[in-house]
Amino acid sequence: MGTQGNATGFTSELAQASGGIVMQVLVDNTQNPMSLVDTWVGTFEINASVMHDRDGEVRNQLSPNGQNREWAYLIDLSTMEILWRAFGSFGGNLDVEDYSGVLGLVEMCLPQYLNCPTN
Amino acid sequence: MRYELAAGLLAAAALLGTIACGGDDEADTSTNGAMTTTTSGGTSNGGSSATSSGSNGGAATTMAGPTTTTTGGNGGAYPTGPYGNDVGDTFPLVTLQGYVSTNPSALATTETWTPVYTSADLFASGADYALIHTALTG
Repeated sequence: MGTQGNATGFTSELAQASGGIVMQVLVDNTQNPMSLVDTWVGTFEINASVMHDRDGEVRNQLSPNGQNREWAYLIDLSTMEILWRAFGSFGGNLDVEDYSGVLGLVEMCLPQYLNCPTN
Repeated sequence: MRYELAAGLLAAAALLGTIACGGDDEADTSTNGAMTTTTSGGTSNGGSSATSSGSNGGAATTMAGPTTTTTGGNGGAYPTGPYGNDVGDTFPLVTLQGYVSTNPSALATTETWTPVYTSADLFASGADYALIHTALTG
């Protein structure tokens, strides 16, 4: 569930334990962001940082192609350069695992990130 | 080592991607909002002060890169642009609030609520990589 792990064996816990930061940002116009985040964390049992788009800037600035959901960004924190991004979905009823999950795994095999099998 | 960490974060992205979002579709066609932010502090968990004025809710604005002053962590001022959301762009300054995880074996809600956390705090964290996953909940 959530960031607790899956068949790949990778977890956000491992990523964080290795010195990375894993952060989920909720884009929502709620008047009670703490309640929203609390519910989200509890529902998906998230052991990573969970934040709310405080001033609507994520909605405005992280909306490639006009879509503000769901995106994953890998950032080099020494330069703040976006190294990789993947689109999840913009449909609430879609299985986003079919999108960002698979794409993420494919992107992981880029040689600069991981020594993948060459066959 | 850094590549391995990056790979791990990418895997985490895939895992976060399994979290369904429950809101309706909401295309946002606005351009980046003007923002001015001043941040100080070198911790990854709060410790920042920021003032920002930006659009909240999709008002069309003129693209204006963030003006920022940052100290601590990776050192120096927040990297210059071009800011954007594409590969190769400098991650834009955004302001967040929530739980900054410091214990990867505990739920985020065990942390203290951080009322202001910006991209500059990520930059100042001293970590190598960050995986940011956005989800629209409503």
